[in-house]
Amino acid sequence: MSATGVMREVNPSEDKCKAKTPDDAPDVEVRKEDQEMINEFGRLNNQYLELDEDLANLKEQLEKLDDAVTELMVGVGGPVRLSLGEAFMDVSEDYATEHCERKQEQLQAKVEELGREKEKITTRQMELKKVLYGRFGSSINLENS
Amino acid sequence: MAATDTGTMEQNVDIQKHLSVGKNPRGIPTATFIEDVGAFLQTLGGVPVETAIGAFNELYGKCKTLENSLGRVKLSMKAKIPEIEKTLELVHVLEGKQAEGEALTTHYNLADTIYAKAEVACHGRVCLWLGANVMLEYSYEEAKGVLETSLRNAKEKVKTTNEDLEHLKNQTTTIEVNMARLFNYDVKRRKALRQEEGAADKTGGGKGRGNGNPK
Repeated sequence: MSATGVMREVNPSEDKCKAKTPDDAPDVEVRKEDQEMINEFGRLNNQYLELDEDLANLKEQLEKLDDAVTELMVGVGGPVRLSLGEAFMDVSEDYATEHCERKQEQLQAKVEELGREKEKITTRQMELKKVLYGRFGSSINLENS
Repeated sequence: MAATDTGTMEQNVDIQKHLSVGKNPRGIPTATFIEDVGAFLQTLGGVPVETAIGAFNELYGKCKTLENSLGRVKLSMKAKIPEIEKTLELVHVLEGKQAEGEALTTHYNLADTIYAKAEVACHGRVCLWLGANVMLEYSYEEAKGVLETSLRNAKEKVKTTNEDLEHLKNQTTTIEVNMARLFNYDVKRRKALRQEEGAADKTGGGKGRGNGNPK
């Protein structure tokens, strides 16, 4: 029976199938629905990776905004230069604070949304793992290491 | 049963036909799922397992290449979206300033390490850099329309590219499983053949009646 390493690595060379000799594996045929589950598992891995990357990006942006808001709070209240697009605008401190806080809210909502999606993927993968390991045992590899 | 030299070319074309069934909307083939390995080899014209694995490997390589290039397309589209959003935001700011009747004081990037100060009178016109050395002047309303359209297009493009990538991932996974199954089938077949021969030798019988060509 065959084994498929459907892995989470980005490295494409790692993402290869690992065939075991039939001696050390029970003889189970791969059915169409098994293949579909394996495919889904692989797809979810890719989605998970992408979400992880996006989340890291968003969190970095959020940190920057947090810093900006803190700086604004200890500021003297004079005009500040706000980075908008490619340039800096002279704006009042209140305007800048409001701008940053609005951005924070938007990003926070996005972070939570992606977090929920990640959760969903993990749950579904656990389900798939249970079924696939139950069927193929040690002749399939669904771990990402 | 083995491939003859004269038929090889035709056979190759024939094999390719059996490796995929149908295509997705953007013409990316769908790899065949092997229901039964032995029967599948028969539909290929009884070719050796190596030939079938080789053919799948070729398709696998093609899928991977396409996956890489589509991955890059997706990344560049994903990078474009925040840029468009940033520009759109700036047009909103200009619009707000116009409504308040204020000028905008900005520090803009003059050269890599120099920022210069500029007063921008917000009187309703803005120039958008469209690329290819072209810049066009728009009213704020029009500019927003242009940017919103390109934002929508970029998001749509990311979505379709994503669909293609998921489809490709399904194909590469299926092919990986197919190749592993073909390989295991061959290992098992050879083992059975060896055992049969061993048994035949012991009983002093003639040749082993294999279902392939023992190597």
